[in-house]
Amino acid sequence: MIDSLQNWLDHRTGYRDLMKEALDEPIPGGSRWRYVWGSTLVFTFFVQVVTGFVLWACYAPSTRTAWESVYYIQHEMTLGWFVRGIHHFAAQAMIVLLVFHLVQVVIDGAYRAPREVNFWLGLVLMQIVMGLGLTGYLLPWDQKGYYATAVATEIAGSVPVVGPSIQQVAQGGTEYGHQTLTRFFALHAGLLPTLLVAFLFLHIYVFRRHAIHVKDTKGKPDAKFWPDQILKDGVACLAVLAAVMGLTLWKGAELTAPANPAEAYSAARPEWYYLFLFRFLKYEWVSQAGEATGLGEAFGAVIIPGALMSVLVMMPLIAYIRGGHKFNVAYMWVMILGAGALTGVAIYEDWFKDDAAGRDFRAAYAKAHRDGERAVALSQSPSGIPPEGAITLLRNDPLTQGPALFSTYCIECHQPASREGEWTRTTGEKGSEETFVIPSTAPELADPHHPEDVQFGSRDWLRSVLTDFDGHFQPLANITLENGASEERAEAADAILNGSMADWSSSDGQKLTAEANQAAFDALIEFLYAQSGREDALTLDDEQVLRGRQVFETGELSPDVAFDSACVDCHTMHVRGETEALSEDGYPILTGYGGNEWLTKFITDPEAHYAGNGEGNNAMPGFADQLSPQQMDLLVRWLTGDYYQAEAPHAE
Amino acid sequence: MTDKTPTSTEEAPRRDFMTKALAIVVGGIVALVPIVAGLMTVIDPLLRRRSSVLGTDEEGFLGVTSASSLDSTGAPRMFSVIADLQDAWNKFPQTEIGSVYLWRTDDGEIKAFTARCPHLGCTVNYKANEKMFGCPCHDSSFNLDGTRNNEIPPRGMDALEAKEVDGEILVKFQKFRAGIHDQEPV
Repeated sequence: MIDSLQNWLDHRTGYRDLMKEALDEPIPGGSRWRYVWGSTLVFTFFVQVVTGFVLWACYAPSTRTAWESVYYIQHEMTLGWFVRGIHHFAAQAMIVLLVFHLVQVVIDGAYRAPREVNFWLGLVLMQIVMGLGLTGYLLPWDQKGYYATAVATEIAGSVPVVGPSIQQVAQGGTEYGHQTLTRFFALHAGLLPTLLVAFLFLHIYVFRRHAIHVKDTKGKPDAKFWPDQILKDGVACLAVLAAVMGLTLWKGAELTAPANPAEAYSAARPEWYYLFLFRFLKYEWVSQAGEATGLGEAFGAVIIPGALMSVLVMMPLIAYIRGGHKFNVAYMWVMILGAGALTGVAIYEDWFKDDAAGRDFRAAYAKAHRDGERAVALSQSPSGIPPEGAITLLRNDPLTQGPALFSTYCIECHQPASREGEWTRTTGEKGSEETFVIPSTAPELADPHHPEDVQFGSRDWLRSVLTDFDGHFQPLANITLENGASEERAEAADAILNGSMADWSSSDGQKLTAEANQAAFDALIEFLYAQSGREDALTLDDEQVLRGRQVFETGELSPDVAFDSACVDCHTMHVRGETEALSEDGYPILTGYGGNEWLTKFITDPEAHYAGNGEGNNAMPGFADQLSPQQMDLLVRWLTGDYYQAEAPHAE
Repeated sequence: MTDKTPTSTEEAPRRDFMTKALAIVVGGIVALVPIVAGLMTVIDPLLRRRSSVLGTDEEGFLGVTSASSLDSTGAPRMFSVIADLQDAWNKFPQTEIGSVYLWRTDDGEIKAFTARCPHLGCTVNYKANEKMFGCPCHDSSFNLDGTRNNEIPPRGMDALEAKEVDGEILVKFQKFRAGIHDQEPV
């Protein structure tokens, strides 16, 4: 029955001949492991087609949906992270396998007559695969892909005469935008795979025409493609798949923060297999040579690689010359060693070298990673991704924008202790400049590198102000005339350090550190902390807070110990929700201390809010005219911890 | 794969069989892993039910219009249903999710029908001069009470639960499977 059905089908299609042609390819000298590379490449392409189709079915190419849909694939869809991971790492595996395949062909001299054309077809395939890698890298529209690809299109744009036109057509305009994605996607999922299939067909057709290139049968018996070689090919494919899956499980395909043209991405690097070119372009002499030849960046990025590639193309012809094959093999190894060395240098400089550039890169990478995780956390938050896209999530996020604003406006005075000495100022005439390290001149508040641990307004901060005022405000001692401060500010700083609160801290404040008074101290701290209204503060009617309030009002720590002057004697305090204030007309105002409103008023005009315009002492300038209301809000809410916090990290 | 192909190692058919079996198993594994994983992602909508309309009350009712807007004519009028919508990755605040016919009958009852035709899902029109609903796609026709006026649709128009609360008309907006006799929520 089956036989007659097969006969029927064969009579009409001739499929048996086709199968025979496909499977019975003779392999002189028997199957060998060294022949597997071509098959592993066909296999990885098959994997890319399957996973690529799935990603295609879930992906939306526009600047407001690309990152968002990839996020959805990665974090919400069933096995989406797995499919994307496979696609991501199989693409890189393809590059590695391409190199192996090429090395194999060159070493064995398999490019020689009559296989020259097939060698060239293989080089075309290599270009197509690299094009697929390049176009695919942009599609998630994250910071990493955006800035890496921007370099590639700038390189295209640097080509003399036609460069700018090519660049604009590829980008769909002078800037990156919706049309860049639609075009790259059309190339990545449409044109390039089609070309790859066409050239792969030709490549295999010509390969079969000339049969496998056997260097030496070593006297072993002949075999056929099926099943001996196919089994070896299958095992090799299994190894490739295992490696790709291993990387997917171990590392996973990264998704950094949504692309933001306004936000510098200091960790910008191309995909690792382009690192050699990236490093090459960092040599100053490459740029100088470009300038000298009038070719600009195209010299190092296009002309030199193009020339090196041309030698590769010429290999089958070079082999006609005596010693040509040896030259080819040597040339190939030099290329591989050179590219490998440049890649090694690039990796060493970024990840291991202990210099400013290396540290900056690693810090930028860590920040990029943080931003990426934050963007995902915000996308998963109850507010979700708005129609304007995920880019607005980070733009409106205090945890992301606060540290950036702090780094711009605050950090020179409020230096994080661990980073003192990083800020310098150069003075003097050109040629005889002198560089001064700017000393910290204000209490440490936070470190933008560790944005989730803000010292300002914390319970420890309050303890420190009360019991160690001198130490806490020590940086103010650097506000001096010698350091360029105005007379007024220097006086104010001096007045703070030698003022009544400093006295209080060294006398009354010390009573708090006695072990017997610890409960009272804790209660006072809780009362003060509760004023901020922060999420982790106790409520105002909490017993401990009420006890603290008593200490604040009366100064009595225990029946026998009391402050000489209570807090209310100097400070204004109006407890939230009450009509009558505990105390009035004292500065600094402690009403709502450490909360959003207090901090906003303080940063806006410290002289008014902190010092009551001359009543108290203040050495900080106001920022009302430097920060927009939105910036102020973001900065303040970061410092007070008023932002979305994911309860538990979402599972992949 | 067929093993009709003649073997060159007839002296060792057992070894040959093992090689073939192994080749098929290994080949099967490497081909199936990406296909099965990909399939799982593609059928994700079947594996995870996600609520898409947000902001309804516990019973699924949504405010559609004010009670006063039903007073004037007593004839069906079409209203857009606006709600917060979770569409895959995006959260769209207050956007169109569908439309309903609403009116108050002479004895004060609120009538609500989804505007989606139970035949094959086109949007049904109300023909005021005929006092009938008609679908522009395949000519399904319905009476004012929602019953079928011809046998093109498999059932009458899909009535929705509606109620009046504090001067507002709330509707339990639902989608039903088209093309079958019974009313079955999607």
